[in-house]
Amino acid sequence: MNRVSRLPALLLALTTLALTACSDGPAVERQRFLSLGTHIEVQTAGAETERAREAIRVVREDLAYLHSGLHPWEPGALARVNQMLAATGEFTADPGTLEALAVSRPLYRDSDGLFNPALGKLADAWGFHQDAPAGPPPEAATIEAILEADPSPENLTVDGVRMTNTNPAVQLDFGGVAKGMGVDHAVGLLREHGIDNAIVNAGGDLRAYGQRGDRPWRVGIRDPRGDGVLAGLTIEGDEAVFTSGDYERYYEHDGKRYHHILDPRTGRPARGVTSVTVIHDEGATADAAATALFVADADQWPRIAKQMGIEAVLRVDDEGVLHLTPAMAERLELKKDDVTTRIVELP
Amino acid sequence: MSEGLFEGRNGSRAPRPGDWTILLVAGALVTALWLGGPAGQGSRAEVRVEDTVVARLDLRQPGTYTIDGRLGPSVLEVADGAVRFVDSACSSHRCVASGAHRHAGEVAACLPNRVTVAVRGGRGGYDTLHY
Amino acid sequence: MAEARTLTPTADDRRIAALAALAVTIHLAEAALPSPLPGFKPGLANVITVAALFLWGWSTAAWVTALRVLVGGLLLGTFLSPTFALSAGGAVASLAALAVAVRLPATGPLGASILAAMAHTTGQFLVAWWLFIPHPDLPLLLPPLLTLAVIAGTVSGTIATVVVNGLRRE
Repeated sequence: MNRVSRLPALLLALTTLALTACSDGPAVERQRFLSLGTHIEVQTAGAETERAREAIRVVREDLAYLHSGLHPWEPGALARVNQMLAATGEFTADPGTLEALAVSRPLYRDSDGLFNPALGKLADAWGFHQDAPAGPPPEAATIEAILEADPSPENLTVDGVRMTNTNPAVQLDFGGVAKGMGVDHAVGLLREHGIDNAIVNAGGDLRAYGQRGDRPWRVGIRDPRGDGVLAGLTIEGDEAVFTSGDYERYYEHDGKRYHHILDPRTGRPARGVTSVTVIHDEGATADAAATALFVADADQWPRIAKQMGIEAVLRVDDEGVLHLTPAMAERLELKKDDVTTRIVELP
Repeated sequence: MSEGLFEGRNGSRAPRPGDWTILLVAGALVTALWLGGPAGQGSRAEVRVEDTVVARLDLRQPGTYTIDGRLGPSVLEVADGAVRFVDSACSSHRCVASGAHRHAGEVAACLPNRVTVAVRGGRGGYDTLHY
Repeated sequence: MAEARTLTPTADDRRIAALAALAVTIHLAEAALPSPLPGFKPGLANVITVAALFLWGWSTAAWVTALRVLVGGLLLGTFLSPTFALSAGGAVASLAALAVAVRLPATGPLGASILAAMAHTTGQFLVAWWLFIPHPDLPLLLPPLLTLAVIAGTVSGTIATVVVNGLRRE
């Protein structure tokens, strides 16, 4: 070949190599779809396309099924269970609900009840059981009545597929743990299908394992206050990153803002906190913990974190001050300098 | 014989006017390519309705786009290297409230309308964004 | 029993064979040479094609190119590989360009070479794009590749002009 033909061919080859090295490295398969009431993105690295696609397809199907078992108000398995619960007595519950309940019980206990999946009635009263949350906020009497009735997972007994409820105020709402379960399911299925490296991102909350080729997965943490990236995080091993924020689901009524993270003790949206971010090795616990630690008082949350087995916590209060446990401080690479940080040790 | 075809057309020692023309035109073409060349690695916003990609917006080009979703139109605006929802057929308008998105990995969505906007490309350092 | 026909090479055949052999040799020599810049090799084989075009016509040039691509590919072990597809794509494009160049007024080996070089690069790029790498950033390569094509075409065109003039004087 002459100079002209050799040159472009070699340049093409070299540039392709360079392009693959810079932009892709290992084979990365990425798909996104809507499920579990949010936007899901799955990325796999190092697996052949066909295998990755098949695995993601399986995940997608599973999440659609999970959605039905966990969605608090859309017609589906959970809605049916909630109808049966209102009537109390014994009935047959579906596997999805039973699984979610089994996952939630220890989380309820370890969080001293700050995470309570039996408070569907309260969430509904506040107007959060609809696509577009709206007021008006419930009457104080309504809230008091629910708190009096003290619905909790402890009111339910399960025997095989039979569930018995003693408290008509119990309505199951797994919103605080659904995405966590979703990413746990997804990761389990991906692994089963031979995917050794992946990220599952469900509306911003994610779980990642393995690596991206010869470097770790890198996660950017968006600044809840607005534009830009607050911090970078390098994934180590298999871990989930979950955040509960007061900006996720809320409405305004008469000039006041009401968000969806209700304090089970007061029956009202928790105050004083903007967001809580948790890193843990699996999603359901991280999800529930982010909720529980949001609701907890300022002097209480380190103990709750310890009880739930969480080490890395970032709690942003409503003045924008970042409270971090040492484990979290070690992990986050802060990208903004106009932030005040405080290290809070766990007991 | 084939030689006859070229008799008289090619006896000179120096390049001829046609050659110079070609050289000049080639030079001009190549220069034009360098200057106004193909789009490089800028950020793009991939817009989907359900699973179907309906648009890939270059975030360097300001503009307004109307996307037809399940409930009706969602209006996107690209300005200043970022994309945002300015209006949508949903009732809560959380998509609009989520503001501007410019970093690779960010996703803005109007879930009721099934419209999602994912920012791709650029030399972002992150594989995914947590929010 | 039918008589076997004897095929005798004509003068044209011999000329083509000789030119092709020369082109292939240059091609192989270039493949063996280490290069200071990646991909930077003297494009002498193209000189043969262009010279052949102006001395003996397009069909000779076409034969020489076809044989050079084929035999070169076989000898280098790239036959039917992606490299071969690239090479063939480039060759087809450059021959088409040469067919046009020869009909352009006042155009000699220099212009033809430049046109052929650019066509060759474009042809290879299109093959790469359609068959191998539809990467959205591939078009970024076009400006530098075409620049080098113009330079290469100019250099080999100049050499070809000298060769053609030299051979015509005989």
